[in-house]
Parts: sequence; C-alpha cells; structure tokens
Amino acid sequence: MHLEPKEFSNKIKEYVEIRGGIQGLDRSVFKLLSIGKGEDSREMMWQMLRLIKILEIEEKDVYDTLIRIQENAEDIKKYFFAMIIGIMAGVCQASLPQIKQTTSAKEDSSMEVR
Amino acid sequence: MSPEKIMFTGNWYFDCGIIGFLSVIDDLYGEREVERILNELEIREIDGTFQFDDKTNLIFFKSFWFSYMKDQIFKHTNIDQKIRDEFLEELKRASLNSGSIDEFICMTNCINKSFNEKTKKRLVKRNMSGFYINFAFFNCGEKTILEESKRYFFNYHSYIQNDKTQNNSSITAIIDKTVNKFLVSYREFRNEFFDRPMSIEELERMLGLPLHIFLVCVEKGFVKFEEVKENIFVHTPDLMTTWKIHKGLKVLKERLVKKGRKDYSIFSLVANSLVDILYERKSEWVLKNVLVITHGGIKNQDIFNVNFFPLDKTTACLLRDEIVRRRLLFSLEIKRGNGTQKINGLEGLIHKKPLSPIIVDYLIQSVNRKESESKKLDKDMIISFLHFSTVDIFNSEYYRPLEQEVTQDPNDVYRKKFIEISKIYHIFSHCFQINTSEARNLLFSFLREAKILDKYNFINNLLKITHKGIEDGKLKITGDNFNFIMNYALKVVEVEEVLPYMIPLILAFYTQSFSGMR
Repeated sequence: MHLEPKEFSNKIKEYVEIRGGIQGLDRSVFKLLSIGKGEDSREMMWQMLRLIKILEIEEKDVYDTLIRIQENAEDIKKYFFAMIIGIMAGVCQASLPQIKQTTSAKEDSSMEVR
Repeated sequence: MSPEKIMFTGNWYFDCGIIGFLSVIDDLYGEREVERILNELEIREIDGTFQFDDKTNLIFFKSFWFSYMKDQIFKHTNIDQKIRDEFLEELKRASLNSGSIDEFICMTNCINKSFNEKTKKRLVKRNMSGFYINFAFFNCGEKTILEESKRYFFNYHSYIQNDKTQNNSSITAIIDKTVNKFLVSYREFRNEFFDRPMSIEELERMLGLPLHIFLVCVEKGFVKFEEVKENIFVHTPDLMTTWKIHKGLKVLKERLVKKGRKDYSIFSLVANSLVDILYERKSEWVLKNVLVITHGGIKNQDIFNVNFFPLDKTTACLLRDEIVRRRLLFSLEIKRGNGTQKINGLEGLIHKKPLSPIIVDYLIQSVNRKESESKKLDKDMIISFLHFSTVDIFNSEYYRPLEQEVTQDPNDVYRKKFIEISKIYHIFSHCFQINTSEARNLLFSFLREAKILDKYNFINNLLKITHKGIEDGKLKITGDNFNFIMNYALKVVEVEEVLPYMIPLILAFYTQSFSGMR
C-alpha cells in the first residue's frame, strides 16, 4: 500500500520526533529547499532515500510509495515537499511553546460560573 | 371549471410572460391595478378558452399598446426629452380616460398625428423588429398606417374575448408562429407532442391560463439594462416574490440611469434585489429554486447570449449568511485593456468564476500605481479578498462528491475554509516582524509565483520564510500555529488550484509593505 503526501509527511514527522531531532537535520532543511527550487527529480529522489536511511525508516509502505512515484517527476516533487514539511514539523515543533487551549478554556468557563 | 386566480406554472418561460403581463399593466395603471389583478382577478373558462373579464382585457390591451409606443418613443434619442415626456404624458392621459377600444384608437391617433407634425418625425414606427416580427399587428408593411396595425391588434383582442365572429385560426396561427419558436421544438422533442406540434391553444387547455396574453408579454418580463447590454429575469417559484424582485430591479435600474453609472455588475444588482425582497417577504425557501436568466437581446427572432444561472441549494445556503453575503457583494474594479471591469464575489460563487486571478491582477495594478496615488487596502477590502479566495477554494473542493461527503453542511465547510485562510493571513501579517523592504521583497516574489502559478516555488518560499523566521526570532508563533502552517503547506502540495491559497500570504505582505494598513 502506498501513502498519500499527507500520510507520508506524517510518517516522516513521526520518525524525526522518535529520533529526537537528529543533529544537523535542522540545517539540512535549507539545503533541501534549495534542491526543491530546481527541477532535478533524481536529486530529490536521492535525498529522500538518504533521509529515509538516516531516519532508519524500514516500513514497506514508505518504500512502496517511493517505488510508485519514481518515474513521475511531478509526484517526486510533491512527496519531496511533503518530506520537507514532515522534517520541519518534527524538528521545529519541540522548540516552540504550545498553547494549552483545553485547560485555559476550562478555567475561563469556571471563572464565568463563579 | 371553477374560476382560478393567476398562478405561476413552474415553467420559467410562461412565468416570465405573467411577469411581463403585470409589468405592462404597471406601466400604465400602476401598482394598485396590479394588486387588484393579483388578488381579485379570476380566470374563467368559456367554450374551452381561458380569459379574463372584459375590464381586465381592455386594461391589458391599452397597457400593451401604451408600452409599445413608449418603447418606440424612447428610441428617438435625437428628440428633446421634454417633447418625449410630453408625448407620453398625453398618451397616458388618453389611454386612462378612453372608455372603449375605438375611443382609445381615435385618441391615440390624434396625439400621434399632432406630435408627428410638431417634431416633423414619425414618432411611432409601424414595423417592429425582434420578438414581435411575426405578429400581424406589428408587421403591416410600409403602406399600411398605424391605425390599421392597431386594427389587427384589436382583432386579436376580439379573439381573446372569445368573439366567435372572428376568423380565429388565422390569428392564432400568427401568434403560435411567433411565440412557438421559444417553446420546445417539435423536431427536437417529438415525444413531447405525441402526434403533432402543440399549439398554444392546447397548452392553454393544459395549464388553464390565457397563455396567449402572457406569451406576447414575455419580452417585458425581462428588465433591460441597456448600459451592460443585458436583459434579466429572476425566476422563483412564487409569483409575488418574482414580481417584487422584478420591480426592485427596475427601481435599481432607474437609480443607476439617474446617476449615469455604466459600470455596474448585474450580479450585484440581482443579489441586492433578490435578498432584500426575500427578507422582506420572509420567503427564504424560494432561494433554493431561483433561476437567473439573462440574454443579450432579441434580433431577427434569435435570442442571443442566453445564460441560465441556477442558484443551487449550496449557493443559497451560503447566501443566507448575512456576513458572507455582504462580503461577496463587494465589487472589485480592475483595468482591462482600455476599459475597466467590475467583478464581485457573488459572480464567482454563482458562475463558478475564479476570483483569485482577478485579486492578483488588482494587487499588481495597485503595486504599480504612482507614488502619489494611494496603494492602501482598507480592512473591508482585505476581508472581502479573503472571502473571495475562500469562494474559489470552496468551488474547487466542495463539488467533489466522490471525494467528500455530499451531506456536509456548505456553511460549515465554507466557515472552516475561511478560518483557515484568514488565520494564515493573520499569522503572517501580525506575527511576522519584518521591515517594509523585506516585506516588499517577499510580496514581489509571491506575486511573481502567483502570476505564473508556480506551486512548488510558493511552497518553498512559504517553508523557507517560516523556518528562517523562527530561527531569526522574527516569526513569533506557538507550536499550534506552526503546525497549522505546516498543514497549510501540505494542503497546497496536494491541491491543484493553488492560487487561492497564495492570496492570504500575498495580502499579508502587501499590508506590511505599505505600512499603516494592518
């Protein structure tokens, strides 16, 4: 079974989070973005494989997806960006403050009742 | 058969005739007579023909003739407005005061003659073009006089009054020939007629209405907007609502003519009159069955540029939301070639016309304005633009029953999309602290990408500024907002129509580039 771009991106994000944000991955986002600016789909494919190796992903669905898209430059680009988004989401999220919406909303409502 | 009141048939063409009939009466006798006809007039069946009472018949014929003369006189733009008004005034007085058809003919002939002498021009021409070309009473040849054409017309009157002394078949054949061309074609839809083409008489028997009268009035059921060369008829299932909308459109038209405006969008007019009346009459239910019909005119018995715009349930649901409707009625004026073009969100929603390219064109034109001219966008404009791009996303994504559940509430889907779009705008216009020149560089690069629809460069740019912004501390967002941006980017990766997704970012950097506009 192959994955949709969104699922693929989530899978990458999941692995980045599991690996605790591998050192240097943060900086490689810029390098990946500069590759994404071009049209070299082989390079993009190679980068995807490299990162999958770094992240030690060994899921069949991921490989099935890559096999399916390897002939289509447009699809490669689509999944390449999905991967960058996954990496960014995995790396950056930990460093940003989170809003605890549910707790504060509960507090607000309880204040109103009082 | 018991007497019936005038009712809509459900067929827009016949209903348009009913509205045309009321409109003709309204022209001469005014609203009170129309109300009487709607509330009190009963249709009787005599020997298989359906007719009004004699008084109403007389009122109709006088009104119809008056309306025809009025149209003719309005074509004489080279004659002084004062003389034209005077002519109409006298004609109106004569029509209202005349007791019988003969008296009416005599009086109107005298007026016509005296004004022809006064202006040295033939004010009312005998030959009619367009819709009425086949009617004997409008197609009398050069040698016949106006009086004679009136005679033909009143022969028709006699027929309607069920006068058996007239040779009915010749009269009905002419009318059938004229109005039949707009009915279902026998050649194309043979099974509709079983054995032979249907005559209007047969249709009359089926519907129980004096259809002849209504069908000669079809042209009058449309409101003519000369400036934009459009004729509009808004059909709803309810007669009174349709009539009020027709009247509303006429009032709007008069107002526009008085102001001398020529650049209006017909959709905003339709929507304004439609929604006002629906609220006034509390008949929101008809909103689900509205059909807007426009045509460019009738020439040589051809109706050209005919367009049908059905307001489907989805569109109607969205329009019921006052905020959405107000925002979509916002009109955007952009330069196209030598002239200007006006467009509003409603047109995009009803006509499924993409609005985002127009916003991009507008912003590019705005950026290129001279330094002295204002480039600012006000808050209303920005919100309307965000709604416009939401309409585009809605149009491209909602109508995909295979991919989505068709039972989804369109209002919910629209609201979610709008929140998404406006959230992205707010993040990049309020949480991204950059100076004007940086904002301008970003604006130009996004505009360039929008112009050539460069999807991946757009995503690239979006990801880059987000990543760099967080690293440099310029983009001050929470993890939730960051996730939101990532999901937004992911959405753009998946969709085909990328332009509406670019609009909020372009707007965000536009407002930051030309400061003081947040």
